[in-house]
Amino acid sequence: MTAAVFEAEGLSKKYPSGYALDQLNMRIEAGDVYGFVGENGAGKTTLMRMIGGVVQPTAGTIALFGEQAKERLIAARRRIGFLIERPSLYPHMNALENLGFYCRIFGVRDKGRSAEVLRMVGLSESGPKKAGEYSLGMRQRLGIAVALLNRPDFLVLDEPVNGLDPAGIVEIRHILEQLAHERGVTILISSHILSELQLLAGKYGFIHQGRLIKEISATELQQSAQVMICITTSAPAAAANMLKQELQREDIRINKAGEIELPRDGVDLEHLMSLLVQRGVPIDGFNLTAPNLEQYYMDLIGGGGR
Amino acid sequence: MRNLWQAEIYYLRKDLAFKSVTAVFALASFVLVLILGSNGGYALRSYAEPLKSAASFSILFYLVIPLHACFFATEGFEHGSVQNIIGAGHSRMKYFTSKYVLELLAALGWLLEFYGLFYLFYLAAALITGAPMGHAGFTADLMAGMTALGLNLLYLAAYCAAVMMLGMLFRKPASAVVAAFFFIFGNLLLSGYLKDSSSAVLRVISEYSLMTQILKFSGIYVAQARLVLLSDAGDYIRAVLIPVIWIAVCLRAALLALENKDIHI
Repeated sequence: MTAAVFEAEGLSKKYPSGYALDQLNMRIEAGDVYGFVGENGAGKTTLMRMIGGVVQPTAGTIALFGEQAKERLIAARRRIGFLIERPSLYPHMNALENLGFYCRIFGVRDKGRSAEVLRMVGLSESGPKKAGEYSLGMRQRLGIAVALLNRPDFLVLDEPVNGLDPAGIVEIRHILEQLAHERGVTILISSHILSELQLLAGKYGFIHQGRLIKEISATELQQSAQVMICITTSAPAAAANMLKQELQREDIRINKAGEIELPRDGVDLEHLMSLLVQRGVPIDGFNLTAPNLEQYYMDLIGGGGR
Repeated sequence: MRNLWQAEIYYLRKDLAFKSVTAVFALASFVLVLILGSNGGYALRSYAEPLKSAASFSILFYLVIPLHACFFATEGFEHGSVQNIIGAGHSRMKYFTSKYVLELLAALGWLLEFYGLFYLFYLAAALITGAPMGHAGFTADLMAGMTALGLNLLYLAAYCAAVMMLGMLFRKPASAVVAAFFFIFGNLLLSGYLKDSSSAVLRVISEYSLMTQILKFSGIYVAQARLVLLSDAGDYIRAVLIPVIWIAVCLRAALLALENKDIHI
């Protein structure tokens, strides 16, 4: 087996208030885009900070690019780009000056690199404006630019699209997709926007109360969740009862949006449509929902988490 | 380490506090020459006398430079850059050491700036006013000035080690600056108030305080209505050993505090 980009074994972090991480085992292979999912305080940021070396584990071990010894682990971090929680920027410097500082930190000698990453994140027109005057979205973009500065092999991004407008979210997703597919950059990314995470990641880890409760690939997610049929009508209760009787199924229900919802499995769509038309059910909408990361997560956590 | 140094130098070049301290010492050297001249004229016993005179204003360095050191030590925690720096593969020890060494270089720069400008302004004022200039005691004045310059650098190293240690312990700039104020003015109080105490222990504490040594080598320490200077070898050894012990203890404590505590921004 080749060395993983990141590997944690029995990793724990205990604070006076309790465990932030509890016996966590995790492995990220080279080229993975790993979506890290969990509620606030689940332990996502703690793990990312441990990867960054700013938080030390109470127990367990971390290996980066196969390196585990203290000095070699420190050196391995030179291959990583970070954006953890909020961008670390100097408010009295403009975008180029901030990147100038971090170029020196990373030892980046390529003089055009700062302009290149600014172009990538859409900040090339930011000019002399100081970072202290930036909007949350601009700060976030600059934080991502800092993370990309050293051409990392492994990107660790904690809520990178936080504060970005919808166009900005799409732009950042495209950048990350490009890095993953063209340069083979390994990415560990957390986000509360699960629909966005689903579009990007090929593997998901679900963390709950400091424990990694489930790991699943995008393919497994597709296979594990049911495709649902959603029917929007002005008379959902009567229509649902009619369908239960006609189709002899008990798993037909009305969801929170007031739509009739039933699993796709075992349903002849043509028969269903004709049934609705014959019985005069006014149909305002009819669609199939794809397997959903959000739903999967809610089922996982709602079902006790472990 | 080279990358860290280059980055910290870049930071200082953009830092308003660094520029302000540089301006303060330039202004202070000019104003103090004016004040000295208005009191007693610009007559010079020797060309090196302004260097000896500049030494008597040493206390100014200890009111300004340690505060800059405190801000410089904590800026990474304030802006979050320490997280990225450690994440970029620099050890915590190198992070602190680069900051400390750079602060010492800045302190040396400010000392040379103040001494240099003070000397030039003084000579210019003497030439403009036509004050007499002699050659008596040139070597003694030069030695006194240079000794004060060297000891000032050593004592600033001790002060910076102490306040940067406080910075690593408190991490929040506001708390660290309050603690640094206590340290700076506490030292002044130890030296000033305790020297006449009835308690022998308190008198010893005062005698061995950093500020007492600073006042002695600056030529402004008065005890029992008598000017006390560093005179014999014992005095000089003590004047060197006290800050060296402070530096060793504070740097060790600072590194322990930084190595063993998690960093939360």
